[in-house]
Amino acid sequence: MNTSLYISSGALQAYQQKIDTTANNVANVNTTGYKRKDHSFSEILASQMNNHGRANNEAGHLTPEGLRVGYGTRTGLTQIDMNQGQAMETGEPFDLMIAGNGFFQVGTVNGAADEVRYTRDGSFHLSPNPDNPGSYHLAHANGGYLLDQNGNPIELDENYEVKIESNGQIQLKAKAGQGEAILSDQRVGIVDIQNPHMLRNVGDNQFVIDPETIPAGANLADYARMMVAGEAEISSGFLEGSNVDLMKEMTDLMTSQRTYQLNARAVSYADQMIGIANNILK
Amino acid sequence: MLRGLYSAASGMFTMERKQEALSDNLANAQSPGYKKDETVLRAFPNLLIQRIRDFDQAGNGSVSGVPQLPQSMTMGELSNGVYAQERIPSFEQGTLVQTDGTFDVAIDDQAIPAQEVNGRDTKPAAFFAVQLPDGTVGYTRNGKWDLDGNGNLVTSEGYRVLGANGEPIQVTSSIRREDLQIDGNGRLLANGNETIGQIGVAIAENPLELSRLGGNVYQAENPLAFMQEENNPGVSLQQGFLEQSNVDSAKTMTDMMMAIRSYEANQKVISVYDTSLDQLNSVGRMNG
Repeated sequence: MNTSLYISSGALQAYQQKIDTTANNVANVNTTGYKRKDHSFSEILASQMNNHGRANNEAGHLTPEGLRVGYGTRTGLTQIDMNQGQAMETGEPFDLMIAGNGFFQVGTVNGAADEVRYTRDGSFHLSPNPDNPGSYHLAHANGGYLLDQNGNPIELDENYEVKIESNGQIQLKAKAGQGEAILSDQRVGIVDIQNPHMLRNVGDNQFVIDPETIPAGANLADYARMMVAGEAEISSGFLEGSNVDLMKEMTDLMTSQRTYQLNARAVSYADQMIGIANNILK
Repeated sequence: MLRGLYSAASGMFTMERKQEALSDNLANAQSPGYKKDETVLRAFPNLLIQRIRDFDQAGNGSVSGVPQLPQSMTMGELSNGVYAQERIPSFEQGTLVQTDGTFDVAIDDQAIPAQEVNGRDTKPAAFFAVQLPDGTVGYTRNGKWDLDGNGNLVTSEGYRVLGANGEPIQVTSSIRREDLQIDGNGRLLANGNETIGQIGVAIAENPLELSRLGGNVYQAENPLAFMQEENNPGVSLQQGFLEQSNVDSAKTMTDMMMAIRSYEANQKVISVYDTSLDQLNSVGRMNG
């Protein structure tokens, strides 16, 4: 059996997936808080053929007996590259950027009631609280609320001026009069997720940790640890850009496309060989 | 009897085998740590052909006109075609490419001196040891690693990376990923200088004795010894680098063209035999 056709067409699929991943990175080069994905290949398991009838006849044989044949390549691991993206100054008071580790916690409006999503995208705006007129939530463009250290939505009163400090604490100052600035009980809750493999991408640049991926006996707090105030540095008036490096992505795109081409040619070679075999009897 | 017909058929079959190996190499041109396979072709052992039926049907006395011989006479050697004898992996060093990944580790074993094994100069090769699903130990050059959900260091195939003590390396969640460092001797350092593990690097004196399991992994009949730090034969580990596949795609394409042409030539030989057989069939045909 001529398996080279299947080896090469399988490789085409794997390279197509790499090109897809790279294209997604390039498309998100301007997405706030986007983390690039890194695709890698892995060899498919080989099988052994016993092509030696009599091993003592195999003069000059260097490898162990038998012929081990491989079947090409497939997509191995797609890693999330958690490196910091570049800072972009916006001057908006509710644009937040985490320097270093950590994720914002966002409560969802459409998802399950207690589902918490994690994101690096810090572009929030004030959104009126429907349950309590005169107070506001910090919300994403898609409607998710920024949560505090206890998992409750952050609530801001319209009578106060708000400043978010670099340790995540919220400073309030009454608009009327010359009152002293006070600290809110709430602060921006930042969680540290050491292992980005626990995260599942749910779109909108947000991630969740599925409860079923947590090993028995462990709980969510072991994997998404609430950071204490001051552990994560928050810059207000900045957004974290995407960490996609266009140079690298374009180089990856070029090499993958070339290898894709070579494998496509190998498919056509395999086809030619089958054609030649078919032409024995004309 | 047209013996060459079968020789030509074996040639076609062997070229398919060779093409498969080349396709496999080309498909893995970007698999980290992949080692290319080279197909070795070998002629089937030659056979001696002998004259038989030098005697009459009763088995006594010679057929008239045939020289009298004490035993059957050798006529000469007959070649029976070719077969793909083995696929020899080439353990040449692949290119090291900088990736800056915390868990990207490349082995540089160029400095290990070659030594003579079975009268042949052999270059030992260094490998990472991994735990296979059945509990046995495999050897790989794939240095694309990550931590799984339990904090085990795993390769991109999902095999656990073994330490020099033969146990899987586990990184507790209290250690920050970006604080992990791997030095040239394979020590896993956290928080500056605290050693939390030693990556197991195994040296194969004769890497050709390993058998390819696939998934970038080789297996050894007898477990290989782990390198000890005090007698490092010349291996250094590079964190933040990946060893690329050592496949040369230009050469692979050229070899594929050669294989396909050789396949075609064998097909032509079969066609020639086919013509001869056709002519034989037309002997004595009426109204020809």
